Amino acid sequence: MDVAIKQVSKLYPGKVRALDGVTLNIGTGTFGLLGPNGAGKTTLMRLVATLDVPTRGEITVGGIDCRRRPAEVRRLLGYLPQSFAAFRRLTAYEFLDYVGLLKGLDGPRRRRDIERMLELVGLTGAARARAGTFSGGMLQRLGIAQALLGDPALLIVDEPTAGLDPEERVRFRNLLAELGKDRTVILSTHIVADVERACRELALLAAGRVVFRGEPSELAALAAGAVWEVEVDEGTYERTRLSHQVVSAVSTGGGRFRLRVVGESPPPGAAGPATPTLEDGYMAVMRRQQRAQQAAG
Amino acid sequence: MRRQLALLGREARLMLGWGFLCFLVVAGFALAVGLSSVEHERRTLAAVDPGMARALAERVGVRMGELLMPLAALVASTHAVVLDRENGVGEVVRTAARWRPGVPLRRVLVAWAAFLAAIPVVLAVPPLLMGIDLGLGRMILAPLAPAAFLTGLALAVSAWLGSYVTGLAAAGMVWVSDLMRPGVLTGPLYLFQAGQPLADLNLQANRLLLVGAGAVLIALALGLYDRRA
Repeated sequence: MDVAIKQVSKLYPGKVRALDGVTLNIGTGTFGLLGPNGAGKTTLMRLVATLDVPTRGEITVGGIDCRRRPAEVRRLLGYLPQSFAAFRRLTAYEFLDYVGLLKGLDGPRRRRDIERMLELVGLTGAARARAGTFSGGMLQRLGIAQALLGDPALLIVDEPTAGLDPEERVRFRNLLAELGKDRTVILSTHIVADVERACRELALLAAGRVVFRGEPSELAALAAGAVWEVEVDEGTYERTRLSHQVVSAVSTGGGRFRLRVVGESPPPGAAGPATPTLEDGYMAVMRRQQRAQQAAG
Repeated sequence: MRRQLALLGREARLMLGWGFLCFLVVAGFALAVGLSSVEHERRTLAAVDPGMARALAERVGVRMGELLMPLAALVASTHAVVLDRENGVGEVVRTAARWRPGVPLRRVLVAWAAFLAAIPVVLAVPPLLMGIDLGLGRMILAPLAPAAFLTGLALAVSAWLGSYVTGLAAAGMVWVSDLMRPGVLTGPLYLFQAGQPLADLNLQANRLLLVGAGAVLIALALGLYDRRA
């Protein structure tokens, strides 16, 4: 299922520009949409999910225009919003049944689908419990179950691992990667590790624009020669924070820190080059963006 | 068809709660109090003219029913357009629904089915328990038109402002206004023409106007539900 986003801009009242000429073509597989908070990821997800319409540009899903034929697009998609909730007075089974009914699934298929989804997300034992009693992780699993009902060709998940414990997060990532084998999954997140483990391709959004598009290894490669590791004292750490992008800082005791930094030149101290990761690539691109913005205004 | 019925069942589960049931009990109790306030007069009349006695009880029944039962329709249906948003489920429902206005439409239908089923019960039980013989026809019909108008008004305001409280407040304000100063705010859309008639207002025209305005406002609310993100 191809998703084509052509020159899409979205302006909110007060001339707030959430998206600015975004163009992306997304095919089968798990596609990551990465970016800081406020980059426009959720806005883009909402436009593809037909929850809003772009101010300019066009979005098609499988060749169907999201603005002109939204109901047809909705037949193809499953959506897990950023802050998922369920009707508190319904049980997990009843909630999925309700969503299945809204999606137009008929009796036997709906029941079969619900049971399969409950098993897939590990909620079979809690099927008769009210959603109001669920923990954050259980709710999130219920959210992915409702999104998958009806076997949608396009699955949109917005910040799905936020609030999950590490074990649930790993499980969730694996599930998303698995789902991406035979459908299009768009995973929007600001957690780099989620994209690194689950996505074949990604786009990096910043201030409403696509600033990178490619494979995770290509994004990591953008930081090649610009990632350093160094052990410094507290005073040097403070100076390094001003001159470089500190990716991680681990206290090694005695007021010393082992730093991983991104910057064009080596940081102060006996710094050695390090192999870049996706997170380093992300930080390098964001640093360049910030500098470009500062230079522009 | 079976899917639609199943959906109506789920919507009923979401829409109708203890609040509606409690309101019906209170309305029934208020009707009983209203009837008992004229009981002495009714008994005195019954000894000389049973027809007049019956007419007196019916007049009180129509007035009380027309006054109270539209509020039951309000209690049952005001959440229809904002239920998802209140529960944080709006985006899920809006992306799952094939035809978005169908969601609040089903809820209004469910609420009104419950309301219509409740009217004869609430209005018949108090007279039955009090041993008062009166015809229920006018009593049942009297609250329908004002209920339709108030429901439409509450839904349209709720959908516009995204909060059922504001919808309820707008409808409540109209109700109180007509109670305190009959017809001053509403004019030809006066709510209580059957039980507390104004001299210069035709009942049939008033009922048609109320139902028509209610239907337009409900349609507006359904449209706003589809458009409001």
